[in-house]
Order: sequence, then C-alpha cells, then structure tokens
Amino acid sequence: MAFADVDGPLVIFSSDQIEQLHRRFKQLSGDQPTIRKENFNNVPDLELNPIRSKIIRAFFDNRNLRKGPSGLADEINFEDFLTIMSYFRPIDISMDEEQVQLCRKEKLRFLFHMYDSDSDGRITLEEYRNVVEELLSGNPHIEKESARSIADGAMMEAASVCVGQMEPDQVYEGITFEDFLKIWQGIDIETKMHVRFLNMETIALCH
Amino acid sequence: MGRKPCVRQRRGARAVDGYPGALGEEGPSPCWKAGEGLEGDRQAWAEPEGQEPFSGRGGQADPRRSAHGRVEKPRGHWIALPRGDPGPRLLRLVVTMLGNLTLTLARGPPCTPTQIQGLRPMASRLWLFESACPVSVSWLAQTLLPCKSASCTDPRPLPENKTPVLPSHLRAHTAGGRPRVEELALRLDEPRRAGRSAWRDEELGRPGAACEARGAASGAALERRGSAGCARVKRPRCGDWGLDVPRAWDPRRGRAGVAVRGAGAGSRRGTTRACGEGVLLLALALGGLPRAGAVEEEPGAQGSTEGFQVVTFEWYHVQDPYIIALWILVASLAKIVFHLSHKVTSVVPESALLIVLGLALGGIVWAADHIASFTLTPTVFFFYLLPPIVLDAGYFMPNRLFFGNLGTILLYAVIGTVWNAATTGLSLYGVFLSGLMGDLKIGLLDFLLFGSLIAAVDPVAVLAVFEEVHVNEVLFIIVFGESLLNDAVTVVLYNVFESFVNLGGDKVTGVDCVKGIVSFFVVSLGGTLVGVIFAFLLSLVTRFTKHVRIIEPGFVFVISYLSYLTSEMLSLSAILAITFCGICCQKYVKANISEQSATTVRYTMKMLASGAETIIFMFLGISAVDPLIWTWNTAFVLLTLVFISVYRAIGVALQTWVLNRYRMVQLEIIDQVVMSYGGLRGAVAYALVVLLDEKKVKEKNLFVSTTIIVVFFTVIFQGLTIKPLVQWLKVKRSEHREPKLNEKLHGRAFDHILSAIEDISGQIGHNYLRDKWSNFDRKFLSKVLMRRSAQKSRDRILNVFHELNLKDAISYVAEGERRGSLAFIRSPSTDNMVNVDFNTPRPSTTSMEASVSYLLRENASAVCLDMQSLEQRRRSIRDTEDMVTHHTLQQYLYKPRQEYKHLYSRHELTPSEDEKQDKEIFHRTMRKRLESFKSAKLGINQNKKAAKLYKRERAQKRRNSSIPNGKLPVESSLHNFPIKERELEFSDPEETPGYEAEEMSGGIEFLANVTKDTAADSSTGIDNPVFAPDEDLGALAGVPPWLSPEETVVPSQRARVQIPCSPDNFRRLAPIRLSTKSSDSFLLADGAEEASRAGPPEATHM
Repeated sequence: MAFADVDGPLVIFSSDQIEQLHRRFKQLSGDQPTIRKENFNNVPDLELNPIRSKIIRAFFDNRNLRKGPSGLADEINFEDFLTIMSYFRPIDISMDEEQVQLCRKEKLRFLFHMYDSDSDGRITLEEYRNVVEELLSGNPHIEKESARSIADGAMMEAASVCVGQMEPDQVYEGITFEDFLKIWQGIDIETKMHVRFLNMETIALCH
Repeated sequence: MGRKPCVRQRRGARAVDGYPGALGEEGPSPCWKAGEGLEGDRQAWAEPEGQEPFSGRGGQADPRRSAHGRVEKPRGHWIALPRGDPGPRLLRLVVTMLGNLTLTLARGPPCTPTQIQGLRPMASRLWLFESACPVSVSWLAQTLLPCKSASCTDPRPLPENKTPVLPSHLRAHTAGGRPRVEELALRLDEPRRAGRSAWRDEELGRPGAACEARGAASGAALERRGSAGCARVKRPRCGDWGLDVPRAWDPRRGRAGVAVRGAGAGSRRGTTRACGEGVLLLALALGGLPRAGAVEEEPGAQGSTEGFQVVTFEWYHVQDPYIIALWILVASLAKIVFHLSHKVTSVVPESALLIVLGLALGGIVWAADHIASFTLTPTVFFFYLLPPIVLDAGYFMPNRLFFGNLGTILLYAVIGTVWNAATTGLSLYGVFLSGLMGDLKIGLLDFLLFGSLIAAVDPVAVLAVFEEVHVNEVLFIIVFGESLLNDAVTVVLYNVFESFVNLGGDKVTGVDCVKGIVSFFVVSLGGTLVGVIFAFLLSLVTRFTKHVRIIEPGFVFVISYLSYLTSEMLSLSAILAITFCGICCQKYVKANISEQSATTVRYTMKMLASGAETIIFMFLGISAVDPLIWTWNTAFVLLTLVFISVYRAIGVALQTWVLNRYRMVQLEIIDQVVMSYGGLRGAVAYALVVLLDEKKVKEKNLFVSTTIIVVFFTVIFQGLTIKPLVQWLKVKRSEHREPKLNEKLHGRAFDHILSAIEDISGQIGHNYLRDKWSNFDRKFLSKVLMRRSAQKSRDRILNVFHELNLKDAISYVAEGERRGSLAFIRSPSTDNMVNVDFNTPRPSTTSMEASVSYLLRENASAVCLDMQSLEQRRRSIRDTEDMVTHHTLQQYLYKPRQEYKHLYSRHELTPSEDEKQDKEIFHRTMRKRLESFKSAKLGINQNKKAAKLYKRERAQKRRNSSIPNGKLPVESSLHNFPIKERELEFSDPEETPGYEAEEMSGGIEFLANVTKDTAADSSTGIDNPVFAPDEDLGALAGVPPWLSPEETVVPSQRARVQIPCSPDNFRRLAPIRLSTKSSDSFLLADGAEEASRAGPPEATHM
C-alpha cells in the first residue's frame, strides 16, 4: 500500500535487475505472461523449505499485491511479481527516517499477512501454531506437541508484551498488526529482511 | 661431613655468614656444585641415566632425587680441582653434553668435545679438590674464567698453591686447611634473549635459520673462553614445562659474573638470574620467605650434613613451576585488586592496567637484579598463551554473524593487512631515505619486514579492549574477525620478508614473490582445512563419550590444541586452524557433551583465555623493562606510530567505500572511525619482532623497541580513549536482551522466507548458501556428528523455550518460597525429622540461606531430600504424609537429588536427572503458559463474570508479577482437545452463579482443611497449601478440579493419605494454583489458620 506511494516497484529496481528478474519470471512461468502456484513447484531448491506453502501463498495474497483486503489471486503477472520482490529490497541509505519507518512497516506487514492466513487482521493462536509447526517441521525430532507448546509460549509472550498496556477487563484475542509491530520493536528488521538482487543472472535452476 | 654439603642448604647462607659479596648467589637451578669428586662420579657422568652416583655418598639432599624418588638427570656439575701433585697443568673449562660446565684438569692434548661428553678419557686426570670444594661465582670469575679465556692452546699453569686465587673469605671458610665446599652458583642459564629466536626456527620450522645465530653466538662466546669444545645444548630439565627454551651458555652470564666480582658489597649484585627470579618473586609474593627458610635451614645443614635429613629445602626442584605459578598468582591477584575499584576498571581497560603492572614489576625485578629476568618469550606466547585465547574466540564465535560478515572480514584481514604492511614499510623507508632517521643499517626489505609484523591487528588486544566497550555486534565481529583472520597474512608476509632479508635484497627473484603469494593461499587455506578436519574429529569423538563424561571436556581442549600444533608443524596458520576448529565444532560439541561438561568447557575455556590474556599483558609490561633492548630513534618510533594510525584509517576508509557498495548494512563513518581506532597491536607483533635474527636484521633492537612502544601506545592510549570515543560518537552499542520466543520464531521464519525469495528470484546470496548449508548439515553432518538424542533437542527455538521455561520455574519456586511455604524442603535428608519434630534444632547453616530458590540457583544438588531413607520409615501415617509432601515437591520443584557424598568416583558424577527434570519443568510451565494464555485468548467468549474474574486475575498478576501465571491444571493429553471443547471446560465453572465462593471451595477451602490438619498434628510441615491439595483432590476425584462438583466431599487428610496413590497419578495432574488463582483469598483462608499454627511451621524457618 503505502509502499507503492514511496516508490513503485519499477523505481525500486534498477533496469538490470528488472531485466534479470524478468528473465527469471519467464523461466518460472514457462514464457507465459503470468505465474500460477504450480509454477513454483518447479523450483527444486524450494522443496526443502518448511514454510514453502506459506511463502508461495504470500505471492498470491491480494493484500500483498495491494489488490484487496483479502483473498488470493489465481495468477500473478510480472508486475505483481516485482511488487512482492520489492518487499525485500534493502533499505537505502538515502532514505530519510520516515521512509525507513514506512519501509519497515511494509516489510512487517508482509510477514504479518503470512501469519494471518484468514485475513482477519489478527494472528490467532491457531494460526500461530500452524506457522510454528511448519517452521519446525524441518526437524523430524521435534514432536508436534512441542511445536504447539512453543507456539503457545510465544503467544503468551506476545500477550504479555501487549497486555501490559491493556485494560484489566480487556482480553487478548490474538496478535494484531499493532501488536505485531510492538513485538518487533527493537529488532531491526531492516537489516534482516532483505535480499540482494543481483544485476546478473547467477543461477538458473528451473526445469 | 663436609664432603657432601647440601647444595640447597648453602644457598643464602652466605649472607648470614657475612660474605655477602661473593656469595650473594642463591639458588641457581642448574648449579655448579664443586666438590663431590668427579673421580667417584665419572661413571655416572658417563652414563648419566644409569646408576646413581650420589647414592652412596651421604645421601642427603641428592639434587637429582626428587621428592618422589625419581632420579633426574644431574642438574649441576661438580668441579674437580687438582689435588696434590700440582705442576703445570691445563685447566680447562668445558661444556659437557648436558650443557654443564665442567672444569677439567688435563695434561696432554686438549680434549675434544666427544671426549668430554662422558669425561671418560679425562677421568684419570681429574682429581678431586680434596674434599668437596665448591667454588663461588666470584672465585670462578676471578680465576677460572680469565684462565680459561686464555684459550686452551695457551695453557696456563696452575699456581703452586692450589687455591691461591680463592678469595680470602673463602679461605676463611676452609676447614683443616682445605677449602670448604662452596656452591658455585654460576648457572647455565637459558640465554633468554639468545635462545629466544631459536625456538621457532627449530621447533616450528618457521623463519629460516635466523635464530641459530644467537645460539651459535653463545657457542662462539664459549669458545672464546677457551673451552675446547662447547656445544649449545638443550638440556631437558625436570620441571621445564613452559618457560624453558633451549639452553645454552649465555655469554652475558659470564660477563655479568665478572662484572660483579669487584663490586663486592651488595649481596644481590652477584645473584644469578635464577636466584634473582626466585628471590624476587618470592620476596614479592611470600615476603622473603625463602631467604628466611634458607637461613633457618643453614645450621642444620652445617651441623649434620651427613645422614638423613628430615626436612630439606628443595627449591631447585620446584623452581620453575613454582615461579610460573607465582607469576600467575600475581597476575590474578592483580586482577582482583584492579576490580576492587569499579571506577578504575570502568575507565581504564584491564589490559592497560596489566601492562602498567608489568612495567612496575619488571622495574622491581630489574632494580633487584639488573637483568631482565622475565620476558615474554615467543615459545611461551605462541605455544601456551595464544592458543587458549584464540580457541575461546573460535568456540564462542557467533557463527551466524561471523559468516554473515565473512566477506567484509576477509577483505579487511587480507587486503587491509597487506595495505598496512606495505604502506607502513614503504613510508618508513621513504623517510629513512630522506635522512630523517639518521644512520641506520636497514634496507628496504627490513622496513617491509617490520611493516608486515606491525601491520597486523592483534586479536588479544582487540578482544581485551572491545569486550569492555560493547560496541554493536557487527562492528565487533568485523574488527575481531579481522584480527583473527589476518594471522595468515601476517605469517606469510613475515616469512616471506624474513627469508628475503636472509637471502639478501638483490637475490630476490620474481619467482620468490610468486611463491610468496602461493604460500599465502596454502598457509591460510591449509590452516583452515586443518582446523576443519580437527573440528570434525572432535565432534565425532564427543559423539561417543557418553560413558566417559568426566573426561569429555578434555577432548575439546586437547583436540583443538592438536589442531594448532599440527598446523604449526606444517607451517600453516595455526591461529586460523584453531579458530576454525572452534567455530566448526561448537555446534556439534555443545550438542553432544552433557550439560555439566558444557559448563565445564565454558568455564575452563574462559578461565584459560582470560588467564592467558592477563599473563600476556603483564609480561608485555615486564618485557619492556630491559635496557638491553632499548634503542631509541625518535623519528622512527614516532613515524611508525603516525603511519600505522594514518594508514589504518585510510585503509579502512578505502575498503569500506568499496564494501559499502556491496553490503546490505552500510558501514557508516562512525563505524569506520571506531574500526580504524580499534586497530590495536599487541603481543603477536611483539613475539614476532623478538623472533627476528639480529645478525640478519641489524636494527632488531630498534624494531623491538618500536614495537613495544606501538603496542603500549595502542593498548594503553587507544584502549583508554576508545570508550569515551565510542560514547562521544554515539556508536550503536550492543544490547543484551532476554531471548524472546517470538523473536526466534520470526527470525527462523525470516531465514526461510529469504532463502525462498532467493530461490524464486534465482539469486545466490547469503541466504541461499546458508539455507543449502543448513540443509546439508541437517541431512548429513548432524547425523554423523551428533548423538541421536542431541539431534532432537538441538533446535535454537526449543532451546530458548527451555530457557524461558526454566526461568519461569525458578521464579515460580522463588515466589512460592517468598510466601514462606517451601521452607521445609530446605531441610536436608539428615533431618527428615524436621517434618515430624520441629523441636529438633536446625542446623544454623540452613537458616542462613533463607531461600530455596537461592539454593536452586546456586547449587541444585544441595536441595536434597532423601527419598530412600524416607521410604524406609514409611510405616506411620505421618511418614506417608511426608511421602505425599515429597512427591508433591518432586512435582513442583526441580527434582531433589540424591546426594552420593560417600561415593567418590573419579569417573562418575552423580547421575544426572536433568533430562527428566527438564521435561517435567517443560511440560509444567507449558501448561501454565497455556492456561494463562487461554484465559487471555479465549476470554473473548466469557461473560461478564468471567471478565470480572479475569480482571481480578490480572490485578493479581500485576501484584505478583514475578509469578508465572499458571492457573488451572491441564492434562497433557489436553493438547489434543479441540479448542472449543476446552473453552467449554474453562468457562463452565465460571458460568456458575456462585462462582466466587465456589472457586474457593475446590481449592482453598480444601487448603484450609489441609492447613488445619497440618496445624493439628504439626506433621507434614506443609505450610503452603499450594502443594498438596489440588493434587490429592485430583487423585481422589479423578476429575479435574474445575469439573468437580462443588459438593465434593473433601476427605480428610488422613483419609486421603490412606488411599494409595502412586506418584504417577500425581504427575498427571498438575495443580498449580499458587499464582493467579486469587492468592489473596487463599491467604485469607490461610490467615484464619495462621494463629493456631503459627508456632510449628515457623520453626522450619529457623
């Protein structure tokens, strides 16, 4: 949303990068103008990613695509692809404080949307558990129960972070985006959530 | 006996005897012992390892016999002087194979070294100088040495009188006209300065033949003295473990002896270095005890030199380890003293303080001794002091951070160091050409050599200073990583230039330069490879140490040290090897070894590293106090300082400029300033410069002095100012935060997202590589290198979770304790009775530690309840109640452990129940967390009353914020319930109208019962109702308390106790009511009882 106001995706990337991403896009889509979910299955490296489904979903999430408050798109075109990618651009030193905050918020929103699968603006316990279970599914030794426990614990923690300001008769329903921001306070996401988009094509692992 | 005076007792005696001048020497370790006839001993000399030549001779204080009866190689030497028939003779001073000096008296051709070795050929000509006749230093200096130095080809006849040259005071000592035995303290000291350069050369195969020179020089010096054959010999000595370097006859020693001769008076003047060391140190640390001891010993020694001695003073025997231990002690004590004042340490870095202390100590030593007794020798530094520090750095390296910034670090380490070396060296050379430095015998290569050794940022210094500054982690890892990784560059540059210098500037060809570059890759990659291989080995070994837990930590140290030595052996970069060994093994080792071992490793490593660091800085200070090494050249020194600072800054700026084009997180100007300013030089540079060969590098002393100045300047001045600078520049500091579960989870999610994005967009970036690596690691490496059990539990998220849980559990216990309830568990097994009989006087110690949680934190095993003994007395009901108590406790606390005090075993520690405990705690706190969350999360559906309850809870929670908010018991199977169902369960009782009252009825009323009972027979000592009621209720009713109808008849305590219930039953139900469930109401209920039971339960507190 606001992100687009700051910079359009086309502005964010250099023409080289766009070209390179476009090539990649075509590779993924099989020279089609749009990408469907199935296309992502062709990325072999992705197979081992425990939260693959969530990530792929995020690509088609209308909220991320700034196309609507909820729902999933069936297919995305290159511009959408760039939009998603632009969430991961590094923070530019030339940005002023406000822009940095905005950028940070955008990045967090992307993450939030990934957790909040039912688009109700809240990460409920169930949703959180889901994510954690997936996250930990990479380790076959962790039982599901532990994963759940961890999610519960994390939810507790989140509640305690936000409850501090709550009225006594208020109840905690789930992590809202504001809470989410609160949780992230002090963690500089800017340095974490970014990918270096190279100018050259470095890899073509797609079939 | 007089024939066999004990060497040891002699020491120091002279001062008492009133011959301070000649006899100040005390306690040389490889001493000369004149007297004891060679005649008798020659066999022994021939076969030094064989029979004990001294055994039959009075037997006391055999210097070679240790306290343990071990026969050591002879340390000293006996000088035989001619007896009887004088006549022209040749007195010859020779060095034996063992490195001892011996005086031979020979007719005929000068003996060759081979002959001398065993002294066999000479034996018949060697006479005893009557009885034992030790010689003083001054005597030797006066007579023998001059005589010797006349050279063997020009034999000087011995005067008619055999002892004409003996100093008069010696003669006074003679008994029956015979000179008495006098210890000759002339010591074959290690030529510290001379031998210093030898070590690396010989033992590491490092820089060329450089060092041989000094040894050879000393040899030459000996030859000059007329010894027919002298050999520089390594003389292994017992007790040589660290500070020993190959010994050779130190020319300076002799000189010193001669010089001192005339001086006479001061008893200290003529002291040998060894005794200087010993005495000074002891004087420092023990208040001159040894001297006193020696004096004390003297009369006995003189009186009964023959026969068995009850007590002997075996200083030589322990000398070296003793001195080392004392130095370490001094350094450690100094640390304590420094930290007495927080003000000082917060301003002045410890390293600077230590250097100053070293300077002071060195000054004292020098003042006493006039010789720099202790210096930081490269052997000690590289072999014993550096490895622990680097290993510590590697083992605790934040891997992710390190590898995330690896590119930057490598650039700074490689290019930066080369840049520093080249620019510093060339600039100095330029200035030199301009003539500003005056006349120095240095060429371009020498300057480059100097530049290469002064260029490297020192890991020890950086670590010492930056640890106190707390800059942000990225900045820290860059500077620190650079200082670690530049070792390879330093080593290569140093070696290359040194060999160039040795070759001579004109003979250096292009091929050599290429070789140098190739060797850089070989050295660095080879070192890394060695490290990785050893890390693999280490991880593999620790996988199988399950049954030898006790030596587990040893593997970590030994194998990493081996990696260091191996790469040193292969002349690769040892620092890189041990660093990477630590970095690579940490994950697997930490997972494999047991909790205790991990703690041991952690502490031992920290202790070794910080001890080594302390010693390094102190000895740097001490080493500087040696007038012999100081050569001042203002221009050179100052310019070096300027150049290294300026070029460092320029280098950093240039490289950062390049880097910032590629880095995600930009390095800002402030960071660059700190990086430039943090380029501290340290002991590595010093050790390297000391290694230089004086023959090849003519201005070695200037280099040494300059290096010392540079090190001191950077460590003291920059170390002192960097803190204010960092504050002034407002550099982002590192922050210590509690680990947060959310943070970890999100972090993990990020990793996956980013790698996925890189996958999708077809990039190979950090995330891509990291992801692939972690997949590889999980699939293969971990399977090979980790125990199966460890594979399970090694998840960072799980770890954080455990940590938090543990914390909660502790605070939970602390809270319970604060409420005065758990006091009884403090009673150790021995007074189980406490629960029965409160009149039993309590051990006063227990009352001192008034907190269980304190005990838990400090020493978990101290909280001990002896279940076994309990079991035995389980006849009466009362005891059964105890059982209940204990089971309850077991559930609520870390499991009290049995203490096996009487079973001492070197191989076993008390069996650990950690795992079970952890699990238990884990589950329990989980439940609590879940509950309180549920109340938060699901409260949405609750009606007003519930909300009210919630409010109360909240208020309560705020009041006792330290309590983890456990609430209702939940069975573990509960996890499988669909949420809705639980909601129902939860809201059920709350929906009931009489909720407020009812809430109490299940738990609190019941508590009241319990306490009443307790009070009545003052038996169980449960003065915290928290611990019994719910459980029993649950066990009895078989339904969760919140489901139980309010009319539930609560059986009396007795009745309940009678019902057999296994601990397992208890386990299933975990009623944690303490915290949120309106504790005040239960306090109220309790309060009613308070008066009646005030007496007995209180007793538990006393």
